[in-house]
Amino acid sequence: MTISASHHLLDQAMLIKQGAEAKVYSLDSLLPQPTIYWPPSGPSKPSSTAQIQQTTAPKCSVILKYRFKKQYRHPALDLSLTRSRLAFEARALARCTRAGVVVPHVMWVDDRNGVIGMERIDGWSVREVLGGGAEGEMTVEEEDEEEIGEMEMERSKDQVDSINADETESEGWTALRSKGVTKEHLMTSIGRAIAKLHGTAIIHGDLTTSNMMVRFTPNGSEPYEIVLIDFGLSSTATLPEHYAVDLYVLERAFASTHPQSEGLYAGVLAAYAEGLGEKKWRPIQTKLKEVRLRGRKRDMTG
Amino acid sequence: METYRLSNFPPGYSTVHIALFRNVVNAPDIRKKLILASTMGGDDGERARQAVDFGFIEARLLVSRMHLLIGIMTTLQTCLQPSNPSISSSKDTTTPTPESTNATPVPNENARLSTRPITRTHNLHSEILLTLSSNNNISESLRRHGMSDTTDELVVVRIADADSSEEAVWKEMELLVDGQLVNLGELDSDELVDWPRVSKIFKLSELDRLPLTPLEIRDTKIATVINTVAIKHVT
Ligand SMILES: Nc1ncnc2c1ncn2[C@@H]1O[C@H](COP(=O)(O)OP(=O)(O)OP(=O)(O)O)[C@@H](O)[C@H]1O
Ligand SMILES: [Mg+2]
Repeated sequence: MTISASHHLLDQAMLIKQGAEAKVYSLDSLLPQPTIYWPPSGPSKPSSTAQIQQTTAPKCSVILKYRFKKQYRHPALDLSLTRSRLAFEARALARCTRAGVVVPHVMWVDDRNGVIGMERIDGWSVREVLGGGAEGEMTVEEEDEEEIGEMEMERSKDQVDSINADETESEGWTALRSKGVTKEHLMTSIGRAIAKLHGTAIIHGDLTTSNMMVRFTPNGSEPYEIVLIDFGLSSTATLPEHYAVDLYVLERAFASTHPQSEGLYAGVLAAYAEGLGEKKWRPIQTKLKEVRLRGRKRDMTG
Repeated sequence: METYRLSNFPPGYSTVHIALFRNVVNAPDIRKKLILASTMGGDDGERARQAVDFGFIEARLLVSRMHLLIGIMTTLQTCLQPSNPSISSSKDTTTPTPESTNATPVPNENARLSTRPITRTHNLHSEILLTLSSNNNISESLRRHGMSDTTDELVVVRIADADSSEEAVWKEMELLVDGQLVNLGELDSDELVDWPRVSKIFKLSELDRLPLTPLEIRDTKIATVINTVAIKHVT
């Protein structure tokens, strides 16, 4: 049996993150450079002999996310789970784009082999921009490292981030600041992006600052935009509570990853409320208070 | 004509030649040849079918070069999975068509057979038209995205084996199509796109209401069409 086209692509790509559920790869181009053939007598080219030249393929750098087989799951269950998660991620991304929510475009879906390929966002995660990673977390990570093994790459990257955070400001923040962007503005953009997302009735399921990216928009009305990524845990919402939980996850992520920016988080909620509109925001606000209370109780008891 | 050598696909189907012709004047003739070829028997029929063994695509419904390329990649990826019993049983509507189209024999016949395309239409070329379509209605998809008598902007595709040469394929195309060969990149120019029809097919009019600039709306529409093509087989 030969290997699948997806596995060929993975072989050519660079592993950038190894998680428990998926490996993430980066590939500079989904397509090879084409050759161009101009016939000798073609009306478009006045030369007398046939020409074959290299040209540049359309820009198509991709991120390939590979949901590998899990040994601990029954193979049939594993396959159907992988396929449905992948399909959901692909459909959620497509639905977001259609609704004007900025997310990576889908370019390759091979559900049978667990590989999804999407537009690579060239920029930084909000986590990187804010210099994510708290000191306390770092020690825990160091202790856990050997046991976790599989997460090693990711963890060591986080450590680098957190060390940098203490000393210098991040590359992404320097770049944004040079365009006159403030942290408050960044929070507003994040809030608006989430409001847009929730406006489509999709909840993200894992809203963290690693799953939001910032990229420059040379032709846009704003100097940059927020791109939401990682829809592997997304689902469709039906109740205000679902949206509230999504927000609560982000709130906690901010508190633990960016304690120095926690005060800024209020700006996210304000922009979210404004983006969604008073009528939709009210019931979510009520639920969010409940969810916070529950979370705090859980913290105290366990 | 652009040629992509896609080494990640089986060698029997790893070369894709694509040409964009503008101001095509003989679409009805080409279609007659296609119909004739499909009805002829014997060696003559075989030769006639080989001569028209291309994918003919209505270029006015392609919103960008990427749209076409993703359509082709998706077709190859979904139709050329390495042999896997669960696939053939899960798709009982599929009938593997003998791929009699490539003149050059593939060295390792076994390897080729193990990855014989599984298509729902006649062959890989027509399958591209189904992939490009917004729905799974075969006859409608072929009619809409294939060539019609009035087609004047035409994309011609040949999926061939790893050894297929640009020059040989060009000679075959040249015999068939009376039009002006242009850079494939012209698919990215708005001038070619029949936006009202594309909007209707892919239900894009709702996107006009997004609070975005006209340019952003256009890009969002293009992305939406490409997404639709890329994910159709899992929707
Ligand atoms: N489209 C993209 N463009 C650029 N970088 C990306 C893209 N998708 C993912 N990444 C990078 O890879 C990382 C992991 O991707 P993603 O979050 O989708 O995978 P994951 O395994 O589900 O991660 P997690 O551990 O958060 O669940 C991201 O944090 C980001 O740095
Ligand atoms: Mg993630």
